[in-house]
Amino acid sequence: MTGQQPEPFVPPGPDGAAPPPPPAAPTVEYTRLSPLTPVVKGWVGLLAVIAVVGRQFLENGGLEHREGGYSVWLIILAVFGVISVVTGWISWRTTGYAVAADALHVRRSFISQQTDTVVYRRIQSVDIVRPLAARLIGVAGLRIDVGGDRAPRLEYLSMTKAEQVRDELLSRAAVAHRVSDPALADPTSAPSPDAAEVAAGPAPVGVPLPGPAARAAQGPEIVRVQCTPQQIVLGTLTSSEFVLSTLSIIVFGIVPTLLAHQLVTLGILVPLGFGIVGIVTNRLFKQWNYRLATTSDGVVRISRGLTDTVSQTVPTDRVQGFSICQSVFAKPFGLWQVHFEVFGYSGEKDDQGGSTVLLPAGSWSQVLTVLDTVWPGFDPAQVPQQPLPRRARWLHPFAFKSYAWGLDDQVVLSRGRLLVHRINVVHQARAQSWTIEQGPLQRRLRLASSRVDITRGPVNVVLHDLDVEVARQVTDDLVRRGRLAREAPWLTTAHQPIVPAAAPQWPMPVPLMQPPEQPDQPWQPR
Amino acid sequence: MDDPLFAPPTENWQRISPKYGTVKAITSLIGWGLFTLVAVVVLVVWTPWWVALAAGLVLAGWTLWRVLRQPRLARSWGYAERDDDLYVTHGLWFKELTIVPYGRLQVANVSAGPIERSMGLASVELVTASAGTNASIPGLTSQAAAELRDRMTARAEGRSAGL
Repeated sequence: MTGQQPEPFVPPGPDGAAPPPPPAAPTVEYTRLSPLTPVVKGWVGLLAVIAVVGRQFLENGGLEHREGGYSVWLIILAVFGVISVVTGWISWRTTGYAVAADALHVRRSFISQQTDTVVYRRIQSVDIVRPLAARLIGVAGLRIDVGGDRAPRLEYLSMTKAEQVRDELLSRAAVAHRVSDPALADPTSAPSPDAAEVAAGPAPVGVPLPGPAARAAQGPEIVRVQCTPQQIVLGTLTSSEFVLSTLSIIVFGIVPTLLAHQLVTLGILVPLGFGIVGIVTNRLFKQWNYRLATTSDGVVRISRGLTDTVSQTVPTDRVQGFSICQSVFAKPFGLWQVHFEVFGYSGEKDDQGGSTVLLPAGSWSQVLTVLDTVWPGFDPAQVPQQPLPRRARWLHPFAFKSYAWGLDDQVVLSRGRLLVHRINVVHQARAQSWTIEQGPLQRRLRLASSRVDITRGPVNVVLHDLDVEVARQVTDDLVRRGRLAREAPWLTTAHQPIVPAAAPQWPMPVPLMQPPEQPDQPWQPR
Repeated sequence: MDDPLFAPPTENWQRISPKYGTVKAITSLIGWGLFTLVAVVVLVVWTPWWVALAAGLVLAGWTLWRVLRQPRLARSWGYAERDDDLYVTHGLWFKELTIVPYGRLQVANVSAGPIERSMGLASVELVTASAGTNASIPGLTSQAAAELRDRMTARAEGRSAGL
């Protein structure tokens, strides 16, 4: 579908001769999506039609009802089917996308004309999403992450076309980022709730777009981490949610049934059953064949999925922090899970590319590799850590020794364990605010907690139960380091280390607390 | 306050208007009073009379305690503006001190409920990118609230620190 601006009316010149025709306005060529799109989008309806027709055949030996005449359901379904096929076809014909010089345009003129424009500068990452129906048919969808709530999508294109468009969008986005901000400061400098905004203007003259050779050179991917099926299955079976749900089903379902000889607790069993199915789907099916890879120009990609495959680009410069966890049941197998927090990701529910799982199940060395890929040089065991004062044992009676906290110039870290051993890490420059909290029990024990507030997500850094004389100093120190980290031009491309070269300075004039339990042993995960 | 943990970063905490204590006392009275009434009525219908009486006495005592506590709670609020950040503190049993750098402020709103408005007070709500930031300052006079909001907005724009 070619869209062309209508030529403006130009009155004839004063000498009566026709004026020279104005230069043609730049035309934007729109390309249609794959013609199989309505099939993918409407497969549920197709299945319903097949199911009803098949049932009619089985019951009545034909399309006619036994008593004569057609079943009313069949008529309704036929009408519905015709309507949805026609609307699907029309909407396919009237949708088009165009990769223009300044932005990506997606035009829909089905009932009302609507053009979504995504400026390349706003593109954070582009993911390839393949639900089961799309995989069976051989097409793929693109999800464009613009750092807000709504992610524009292009559904569906053939697989090769989808990869081409993804690579082109990413290279144009990289060029736009480099041009607009040489120091590569934070990508979202002004809060803007809209995902698609009007184009800010054409690309600056003189900046050459990457030629075909450069685009093709987003070449071979180096696989950094690959999770074996055993790891993923074990990770699911030993996760705390799965174990607790199974135990609940046994305790609340099987035991009363055995005792009472009838199913008495169906009201609890059904939601628990759904919960277990959800856990298995999320952790097993969606993370199957998990692979983390980097390309030669520093793009980090995750691909995963059993029925619906997703290829997700990790926006390494929007990562706020990590949560590295290990449930007590996974400890004998040495399996860890890593979540990361990205501004704009709503969490695992947005599984179409916006998942927050960075590593579903892996050994500690795999965890270090994954962390090093996103934040080069970062190792949580290198951050100097302090235990809690002995008085805090009253508030953490279980696993007191596992609680610790630490900070250096770049990160602040807290760890602790109840059922799940969690290590929460946040970059100092991403802290939005800091809070000191003290409840009545803590005041009695002369303790206080210090919390680092970041955007909403799986990572939560709370320095629990610090000594009261130290809590204010630590928080003021966090404020100071946060300001310094924000002002420092920190780059998180693959070539900038994130750990400072010099040892961190600890500006405490008074000794922190009584000497730590094991003074000379740095914490080592097993 | 002589507690070094919640000591002001400047000379003194800026206090809010004591009329805020009255506002909160009125809202507590309405809220907890209604709850007490509803609970007693429900219990009178469904349970023996002495259960309703005991519950009513307990709830009435709780309501009275909350209402009488509000003026002290209002006196515990304090804020301090420094060059680069804002400190806000409040609480008696559950104390909190929040530090927000100006560059992180995204939105500063002035809002006032009906009772606050009738006493000439307003609150300044400060929003950052984190949902957990609790840096709102209630109980300022309308004039002071508007001025604080303008100051915060000007400083936030000058130091915008992105995300």
